[in-house]
Amino acid sequence: MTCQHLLSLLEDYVDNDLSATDRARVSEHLDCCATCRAEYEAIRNLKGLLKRQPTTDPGQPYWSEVSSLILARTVEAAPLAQSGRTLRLDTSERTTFIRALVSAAVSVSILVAALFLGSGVELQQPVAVLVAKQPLLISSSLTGLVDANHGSIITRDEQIRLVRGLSLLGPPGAIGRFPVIPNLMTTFD
Amino acid sequence: MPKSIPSLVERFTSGDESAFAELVTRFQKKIYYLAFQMLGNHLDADEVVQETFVRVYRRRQELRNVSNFTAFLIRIATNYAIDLLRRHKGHSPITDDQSSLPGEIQIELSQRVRTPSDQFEDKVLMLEIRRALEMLPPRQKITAVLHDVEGYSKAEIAEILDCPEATVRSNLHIARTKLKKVLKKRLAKRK
Ligand SMILES: [Zn+2]
Repeated sequence: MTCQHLLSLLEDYVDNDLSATDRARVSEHLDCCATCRAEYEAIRNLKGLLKRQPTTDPGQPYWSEVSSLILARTVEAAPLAQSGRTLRLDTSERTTFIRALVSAAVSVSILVAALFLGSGVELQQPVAVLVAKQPLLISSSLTGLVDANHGSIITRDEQIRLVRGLSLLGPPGAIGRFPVIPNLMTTFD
Repeated sequence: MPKSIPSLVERFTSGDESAFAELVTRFQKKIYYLAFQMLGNHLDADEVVQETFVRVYRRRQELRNVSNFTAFLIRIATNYAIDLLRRHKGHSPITDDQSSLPGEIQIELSQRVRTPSDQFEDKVLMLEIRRALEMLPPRQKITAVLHDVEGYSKAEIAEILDCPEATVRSNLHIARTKLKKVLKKRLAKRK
């Protein structure tokens, strides 16, 4: 057997994919050829190193989480997908979608509460000025609502009650409802 | 009593969704480890696991004609991994290596080693091999991972990649030749 012929069989030899006859012939050549033996060692070592690539277990919490996520995206999402509209969301889209729903629900509840709360407070300043002074994140969306759709969605009276109510209710988070309220109340005087 | 894979697949295709849940539990680790070896980081492996099962679910009607569910599953995972590798082309996803792994994995890895110098030497070597694998084109890399890391036979890989066995053999040969070249010193040093 020539070295060239051996090299063509060498990988199958290392992988144990050769017939018994070929195996014996390769083995015989390797015993007496240092060059081919070096090549054999190199392939064997490479396979050994690749086999040792570490596998890491991300842990039980991950396995439970990922199977729940998969079921949420398949079995539990199926009625939506079959209802005529194809709602195909990947993980991040799904998260964004849920966040948008929650955020919309929170906004609606704040607006409704604000309309009620605002009904008893007197207000002299124009709404836009008040809104501009309001150091709350929520004021930006309110400005859009009040200015851009002036009169078209809600009446001016309702706008005033809304802004007053918001000032009493404050933001839903930890931005600090209490430090903000005195600030706002001064704008009423 | 554990149910056989074919009977679970049969139940799943007939509309029993609890069978799908069980298939997910049975196969998620296999897919994750395979994807981790192909892509080298937790985030991509996680994406492959989720996407693979979502695709299997959507393609459940095809399962009636599938004789080897495991090969079908691994083929979907592998194709998605190839897509990710092509998308990542040009920037290596392994630069952050272990920093992207959850804490538990890092602890597990550190417990596996004997001495600090052993640990360091071994980590460097494993990282070198991962870098070398990283440089291969997707199909060569995946063939090498399936065969030499995961231990699949050439016939199984041909089925997974839907190509002739000769293609597997030649991709494996080219991958190994490149790896040997890059890791030359490392391979010569070892006894
Ligand atoms: Zn020779």
